[in-house]
Amino acid sequence: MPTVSCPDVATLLHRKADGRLSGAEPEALGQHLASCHACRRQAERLEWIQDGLRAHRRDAPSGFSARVQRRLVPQEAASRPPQGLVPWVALAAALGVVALLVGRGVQPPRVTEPVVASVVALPPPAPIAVRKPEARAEVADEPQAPAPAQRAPRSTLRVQYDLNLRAFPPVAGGRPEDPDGRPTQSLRERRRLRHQQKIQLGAPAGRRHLPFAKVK
Amino acid sequence: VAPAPLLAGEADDDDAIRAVLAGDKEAFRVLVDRYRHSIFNLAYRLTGRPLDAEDLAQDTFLQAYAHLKEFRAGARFHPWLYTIALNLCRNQLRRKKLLRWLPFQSAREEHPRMVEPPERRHPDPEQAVLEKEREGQLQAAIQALPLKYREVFLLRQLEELSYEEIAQVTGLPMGTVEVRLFRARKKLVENLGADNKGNRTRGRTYMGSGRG
Repeated sequence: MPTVSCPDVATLLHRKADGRLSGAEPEALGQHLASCHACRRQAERLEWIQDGLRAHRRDAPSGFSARVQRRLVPQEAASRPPQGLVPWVALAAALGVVALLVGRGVQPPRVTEPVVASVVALPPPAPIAVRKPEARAEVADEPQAPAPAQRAPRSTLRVQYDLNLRAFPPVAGGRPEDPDGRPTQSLRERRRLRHQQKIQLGAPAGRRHLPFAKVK
Repeated sequence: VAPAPLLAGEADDDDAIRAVLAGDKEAFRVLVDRYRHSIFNLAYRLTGRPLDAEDLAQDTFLQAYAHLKEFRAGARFHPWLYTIALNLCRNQLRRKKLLRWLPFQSAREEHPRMVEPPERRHPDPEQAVLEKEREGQLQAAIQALPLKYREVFLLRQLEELSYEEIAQVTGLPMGTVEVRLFRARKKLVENLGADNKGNRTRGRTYMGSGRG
C-alpha cells in the first residue's frame, strides 16, 4: 500500500471529493488522516463545506414560477428596457465631471509673450505689504493713470511655473524653444541639465542637491 | 385541436422546448418549475444576496425564453441555462463592484437585509442560532473566494455538473476547470482554518459549532 505524506493530502482530498480515488488510495489516505491531526482537520473542513452546501440549499421563493410566467408576455411584445440605466448615466456624468476638473487643473498656462526674455528680466517677487485704510483712500483720490492692458490674475500654477523657470532657466544645448518662446524643456529636464552643469562646474558634492529655490 | 397541456412530471426538457417553440407559452412553466431552485441557489451562492438572486433567476428564465430558438436541439438544456445564469451573475457582480465607487449608493442598497423565509425558521431557537451561524460561516467562506474559483466550485459542488459540463458552461478548457476547482477547495479550507484560528482567539471553537 502506498504511503501518503502531508503534501499529497490536498490532491487526494480533491480527488476524493470528486469520487476519483482508486485502488489502495482511500485506505492509505484514511491511515494518514488517522495519524495526522493537521491533515484530518483539512479533511473535516472540506467535508463540512460539502455537507453545509447540501444542507443549506436555498429554494426559490414561493410564487417564483408565476412571476416568471407573468413577465413572459412583455418579453414577447417588446424588448425590456435595459436595467440599471440610471446608475450608468450617473457614472458617465461623474466621470465627465472628474475629467473636466482634471483637465482644467492640468491645463498648461497660456503664454502670450516670450517667456524666456521675461524670465531673465523677471524682478524679484515684491514683498507683500498690507496697506493701511488711509493709504488706500489716498490711492483712490489720485488721478487715474491710464490703465495698463488688463492682465489676467496669475494662477497658482502659473506662479509656480514662473518660479520654476527662474530657478531652472532653459539650459543651452537642450531642445530648441517653440515658436511662442516657451521653453520646450520640461522642468525635470531643466533640473537634470542644471545638475549636470553644476557637476561640470565643480560644485561641491553637498551643494548639488539643494532645493531649487536656493539655487542661484 | 389545441394540444394537451404538458405536465411537469411527464414532459422532458426537449418536449417542453418543442412545445414552447410551437407557441405554447405555458409549457415553459415546466422548465421553470424544474430548474428554479437550482438557478436560484446558484445565483444566491454566487452573489450572496437573496434579493439579487431572485431577480437574476427570473432574468435567467426570461433570457432563456427569449433565446430559445437559438438553443441547439439535442443539447442538454440545463448547462445552457447555467451559462445564462452565470453570465448574468458575472455582469451583476461587476456592476456592483463598479457602483461601490459611486458615493450615492447607499449602504442599505449594497447590503440589503436578509429576509428569512418563514418555512426556514427553526422551531428550536438554539438550533436556529447554530444553523444561522453555520450558514453565515459557510456563505462568508464562499464569498471570500475569487469569482473565478467560486463559480467553478459551485457548479461542481452545488449543481454536481461534470468537468465537461463545467467547461461548457464557463467556456474554459477542462484542465483549467480542474486546476480552479483544486485551488478553490484548497483556498476554502485555508480560509476556514484562518477563521477557526480567529474564533479560537475569541474563545470559541469553530468546528464545535460547525459540525453540530
